[in-house]
Amino acid sequence: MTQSHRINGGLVSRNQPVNFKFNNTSYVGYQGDTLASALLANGVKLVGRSFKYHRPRGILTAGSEEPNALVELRSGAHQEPNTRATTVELFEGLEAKSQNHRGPLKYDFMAINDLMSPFLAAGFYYKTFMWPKAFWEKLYEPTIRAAAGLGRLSGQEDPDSYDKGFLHCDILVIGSGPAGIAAALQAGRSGAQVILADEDFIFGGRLNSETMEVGGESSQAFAANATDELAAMPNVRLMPRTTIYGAYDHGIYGAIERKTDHLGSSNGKPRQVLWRIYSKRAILAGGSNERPIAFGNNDRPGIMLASAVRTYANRFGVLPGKRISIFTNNDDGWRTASDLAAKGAQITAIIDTRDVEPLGAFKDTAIIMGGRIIDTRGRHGVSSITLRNGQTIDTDCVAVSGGWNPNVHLTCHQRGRPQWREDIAGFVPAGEMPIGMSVVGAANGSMTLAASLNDGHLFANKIAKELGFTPSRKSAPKAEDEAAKTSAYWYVKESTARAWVDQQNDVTVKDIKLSHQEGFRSVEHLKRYTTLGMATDQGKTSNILGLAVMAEVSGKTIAETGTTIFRPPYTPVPIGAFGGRVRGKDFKPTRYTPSHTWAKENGAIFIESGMWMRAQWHPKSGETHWRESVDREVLATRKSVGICDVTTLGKIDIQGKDAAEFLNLVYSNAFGKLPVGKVRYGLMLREDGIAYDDGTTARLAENHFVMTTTTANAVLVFRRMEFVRQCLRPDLDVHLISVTEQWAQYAIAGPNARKLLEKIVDKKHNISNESFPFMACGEISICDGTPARLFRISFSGELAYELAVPTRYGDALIRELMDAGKEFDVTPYGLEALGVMRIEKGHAAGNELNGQTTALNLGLGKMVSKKKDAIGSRLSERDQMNRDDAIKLVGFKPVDSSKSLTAGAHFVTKGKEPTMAHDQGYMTSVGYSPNLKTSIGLGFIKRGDQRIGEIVTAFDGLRGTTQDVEIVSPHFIDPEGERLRA
Amino acid sequence: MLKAVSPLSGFSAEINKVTISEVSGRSLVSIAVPNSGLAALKAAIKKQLNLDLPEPGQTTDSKSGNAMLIWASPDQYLFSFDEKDNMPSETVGKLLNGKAYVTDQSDAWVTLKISGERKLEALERICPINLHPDVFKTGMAARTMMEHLGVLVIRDENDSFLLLSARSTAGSLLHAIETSAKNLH
Repeated sequence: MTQSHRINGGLVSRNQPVNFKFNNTSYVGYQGDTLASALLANGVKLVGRSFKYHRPRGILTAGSEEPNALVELRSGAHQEPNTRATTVELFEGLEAKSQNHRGPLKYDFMAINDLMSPFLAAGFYYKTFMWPKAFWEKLYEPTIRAAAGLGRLSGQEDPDSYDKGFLHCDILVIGSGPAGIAAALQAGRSGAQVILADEDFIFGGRLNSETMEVGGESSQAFAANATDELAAMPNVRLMPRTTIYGAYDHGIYGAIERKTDHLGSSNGKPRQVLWRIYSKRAILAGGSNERPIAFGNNDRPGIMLASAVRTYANRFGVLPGKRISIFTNNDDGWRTASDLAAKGAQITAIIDTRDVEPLGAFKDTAIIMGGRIIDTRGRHGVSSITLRNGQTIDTDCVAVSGGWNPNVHLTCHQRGRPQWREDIAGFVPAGEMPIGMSVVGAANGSMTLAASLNDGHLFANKIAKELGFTPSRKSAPKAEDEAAKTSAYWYVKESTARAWVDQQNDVTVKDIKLSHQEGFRSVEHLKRYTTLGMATDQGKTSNILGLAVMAEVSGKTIAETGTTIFRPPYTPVPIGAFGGRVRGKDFKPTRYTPSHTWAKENGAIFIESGMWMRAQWHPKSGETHWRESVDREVLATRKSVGICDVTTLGKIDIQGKDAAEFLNLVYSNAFGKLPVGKVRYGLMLREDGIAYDDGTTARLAENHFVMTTTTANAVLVFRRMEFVRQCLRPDLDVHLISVTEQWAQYAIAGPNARKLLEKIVDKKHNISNESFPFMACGEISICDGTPARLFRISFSGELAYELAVPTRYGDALIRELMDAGKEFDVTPYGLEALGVMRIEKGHAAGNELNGQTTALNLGLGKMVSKKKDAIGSRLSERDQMNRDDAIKLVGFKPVDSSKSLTAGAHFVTKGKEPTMAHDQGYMTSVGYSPNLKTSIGLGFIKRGDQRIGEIVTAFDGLRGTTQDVEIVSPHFIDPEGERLRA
Repeated sequence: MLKAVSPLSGFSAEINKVTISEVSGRSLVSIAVPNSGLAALKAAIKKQLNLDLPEPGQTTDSKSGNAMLIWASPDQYLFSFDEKDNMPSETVGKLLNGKAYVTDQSDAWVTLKISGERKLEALERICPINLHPDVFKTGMAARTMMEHLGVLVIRDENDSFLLLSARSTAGSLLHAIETSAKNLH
């Protein structure tokens, strides 16, 4: 097909033809076209079906405010619905499909909805589909959703990638029309750091759509030259294809930069980048949007906004029609007429709603002042218009100008409520504006060219000065102000046919009247009842028209009626862009232990523990079930020696003259008299007396301690201690720094642990039981001078040590230990075996320190010292926390040892119903003990310590099981602690 | 002696005019100021290390010896210097002789040096703070977050940055920076 509607001129590159497809038909456009301009150039008018009534629709605008020309862009997994053809830059091989129709676009089966329109008015769904209630979710909603709605998602994972970033500037200029580009020039010349962002792919805004003069050159040339000047400034960052979509707190703006959307392929690069822009000041130069006039059947393809028709002619070299008529209520419509006439278009009629003198004379043009279009004809595109006097005029394009709305969107994002300005018949920014934002040009009601240029120029100077820069003495670009008188004329009352207000959501003048008739008085209610302005375009062309209609039917002024406000985003932002690069496991950082490489080489199975990857167990070849590996690890450790990477435990270096006093405050038990070279188990309470965290703390020197915390609470404990240090007791000389990452730490447990250690500890250090007894610690060296720390502590209940070396040696140490341990059949053990052994030993862990239990519950009541003050100690004395029937930590065994216990089960006295009233406590940890050859558990039960030997029922409502269990001592293995002192 | 490995095994690469290389062979020792001990520490540092204490957000450099003091938080500095042995906190502790509490941090951090023509473009994808040379001048340091990771960023030279972050997540930090460089259009 040839480009039947292409004319000379414009900013497209005629030597760069671009092939594209729309609804599987091939067309040719030019580089510099949008999909909309290329379709119009090829005479394609019908581009989609409307939301509700499936009426044929065409292109209304030439910008991001477009309500109709929404397409599914690209194909396969790349398909993107609801893409505005008016903003899609044409690229070679582009494929687009119209949306919201069944069958071909021209013969949409769902167009039957249009015939049923009397039944589908506003509120129809609310009233009709209420009963029976159950039908809504199952029948009505799915059916309605299938019939209405917009484009389809591909249903596949988004194959594109996205990224995010942070930008900083002194002055952010939003929009590059006359005001924006003048502001950017002056801001840039002052030396300030400037970002100029525009959603378009070329800068200049309406300068590119006009044939006016700026500074003695054409507006298009001015825009290009100004862009060149800005591009040459190192302090200016030009961001085309970038939409500022939201104004947030403290001068922060959200921006979406379309990096590769104008290309056939992203070549593996992010398609879009979501920026967070930190600005000191922002200059909003968002321009204004032309609005339509509502008249009968005003939604036919070919009926467009006048400024859009002008843009297609001047910027893209496309005449949307051969016989164009103009319907206007303001001077600007006449400028469209003269521009189009200059391009050789035949202007069949100019219908001005005002009774004023004609603003121009045109050859062969019917000029009708005080005229009204009451109806139109043409199934898939307008073919004629009918005027109030019955006169019918043949036309294939109606350019409608209903006046201009300042683009106040971003000024509302912090609840700024625009104010009505009678002289321009539009709302201008007012109320609570985003901090640091100034609005210039048409967005602020300066509707004409010279005024806009001046506005931008002067504001930029003022702001640059405020920020301490010296404004350039250059004067504002010279231009003339065009005629811009307007009138508040909204809709043709004489029309009997439906007159569309919101074309994207199919809201008519009648719907608005109906909502008023039904009692909706506030604009917010009107909006929700009719869905006016609620579509993807947020009513950029329809809102003001809608509330003007409402004002009229309610007999109020527009100022009294007020307006709805906008919230982000300005235009839709893909969810993928908010996610940025973060996908799959990149969602969060991953922490690796020093032995990770070794463990991986040896086939360990890993589990996430917070952000850490920890070895869960280390399978040996031939083992088919995890329990096989875990049982073996437990038995081998208790028989000889096992090794476990415990680097993940939090480690905090505590130094200062008052370090001991500080520890006395944060731990409930006493630390003041802990001798140098000793370790003590410590318990921390919350302020309210509930157990918070536990761990061991070693005294390396008089003023130097090293604390360990649980893996999960490492950061929380550090933070709390900083709070205590900085806020509660700043008088204490105590200093904290995390050394979790500094030290690689291994637990070496089992009867042969010492023998193994003796092989690697340098000979000058005596680690015999006498010299280095249980709970000893010291700074030593191993393997010929490698610095190390040794702690004789035991979580497993065995003779055990924890050996720490600077992390750089962690990998070498595990290999060395495994090598030296060969003669003892040394066994690496993972998190599961660690868990089994601590249950066997009756040690509390996170399951027991669960935020609901006290020291008393845990059997650690004696660890809350009464002789000193510590966080939580006072409140732990409350009566209710010291009841005689308090739950106590005990062990449990199934009566039938072939059965497994389940964690989370609740205990009731045997024979009682499992109800809340009979609840005696609950199981917290279970595991299989290969030593006892039975499932064992830890849990809390009322007066548990006095009930050893009793059989109770464990009821697990979640899994639906009930079993008898015996209350036993929590110390399943070595209750006397002989092993760990061996 | 056990064999030492650096967090990223000496990684170095240039991607899209962004040079990323691991810095190793440095010792890092934290220096905490005892209560009411600032003046004494200042004097000791001047005398023993020939360095001034940096102001918040700043670093100070030795004229010789390739050592740097970094302001880390109130009453805390990080001292970075060429590695001489594996007991750096002992060495520094002796020099300062009780005027400060010192802790070895050499193995707690990974250090990456970022340079090359497009370094700022890569960093702006992950770094929330403004690294423009007029704002974040040579010798300045700041603690910030990049991709959920705490990072200490230093403009050590006019055209390069040091990023210090936790050792266990060195791989995640490197991935973040590599991705930023690869994502440059």
